[in-house]
Amino acid sequence: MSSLTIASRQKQLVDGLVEAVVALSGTLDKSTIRLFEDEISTLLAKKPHRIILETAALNHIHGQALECLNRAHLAQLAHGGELVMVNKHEVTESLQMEDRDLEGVRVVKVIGHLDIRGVSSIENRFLQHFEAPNPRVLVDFSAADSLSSLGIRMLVRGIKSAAARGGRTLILNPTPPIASALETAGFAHYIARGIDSEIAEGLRNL
Amino acid sequence: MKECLTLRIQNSDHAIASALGEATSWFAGLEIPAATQYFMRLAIEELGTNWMKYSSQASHADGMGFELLLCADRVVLRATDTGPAFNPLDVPPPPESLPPEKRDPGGLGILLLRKMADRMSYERRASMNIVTIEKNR
Repeated sequence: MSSLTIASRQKQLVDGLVEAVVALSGTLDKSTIRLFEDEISTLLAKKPHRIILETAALNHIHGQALECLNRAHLAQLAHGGELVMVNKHEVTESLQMEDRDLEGVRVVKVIGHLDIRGVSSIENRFLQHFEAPNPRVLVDFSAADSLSSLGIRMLVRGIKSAAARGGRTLILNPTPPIASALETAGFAHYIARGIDSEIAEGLRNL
Repeated sequence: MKECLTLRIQNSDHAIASALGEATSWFAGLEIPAATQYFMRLAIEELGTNWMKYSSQASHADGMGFELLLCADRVVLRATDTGPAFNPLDVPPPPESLPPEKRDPGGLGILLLRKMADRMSYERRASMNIVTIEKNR
């Protein structure tokens, strides 16, 4: 199934006029055209001075969408406004994982967004670290920017897997927002703060 | 006029991921604490995935809408969809007697939103679910 995401933001220009920026990503085809037309209609009703359409992340534009844009262009001109298409696209941050051995303790560092954007890309590799006999795993969240319930579920699978093999897991130095989510979900007792080598030594002795 | 970002998503992981990317880009130009930014992205993902999993086919065709509004003292997220009535505030919390790793993972996202939001409300209006979540700046 095709997928389309429309992000619209509006700001007031210095002279009191309104500018609307609409970023489109995905596929603009027959199955997604209605969403697009609805959004453009809503926007035109507000009569912004300028509409900027960012289309670089679109991989297909259906002919019906071009007709809709033509109509929008004319509607903008009718009230003295304008419609501009630009090819700007900001690359979104991704998720990376690094791992190393610290004298028998596996340190797995998660960098970026542990949410719907990245969990599936690292899940298998992440869980392998918990599958050794009697594993000791330190999950380093010091460079994690996001953690959703999807990421927490992956973490729980790892914790359970390690525990089933006689192992232990700790979460190292989570950033304050991530720590807050972990505490809210009931995982405060897994959080460890300090220098990795010292925490690892404690983990080896647990 | 307040700073505002509106997002329309369709029924796919990719669409939610794109929406999170757009929210991240929008936040980048504003002075909002990292914790608030993170919470709002969390809310978009948890409400979006909940809608994907449990809402109706007709609602999926309509798409789901998010509006992020920057106010002087807080950030407000309003999520709307045309699915069957669903009030996230009615979802019972998981039993405290069980350790978290032994609980049913269902409902964890909603629990995070309810506990971490400064204010959260639900209304059913014109056959739409409207969830409003606020986080102080």
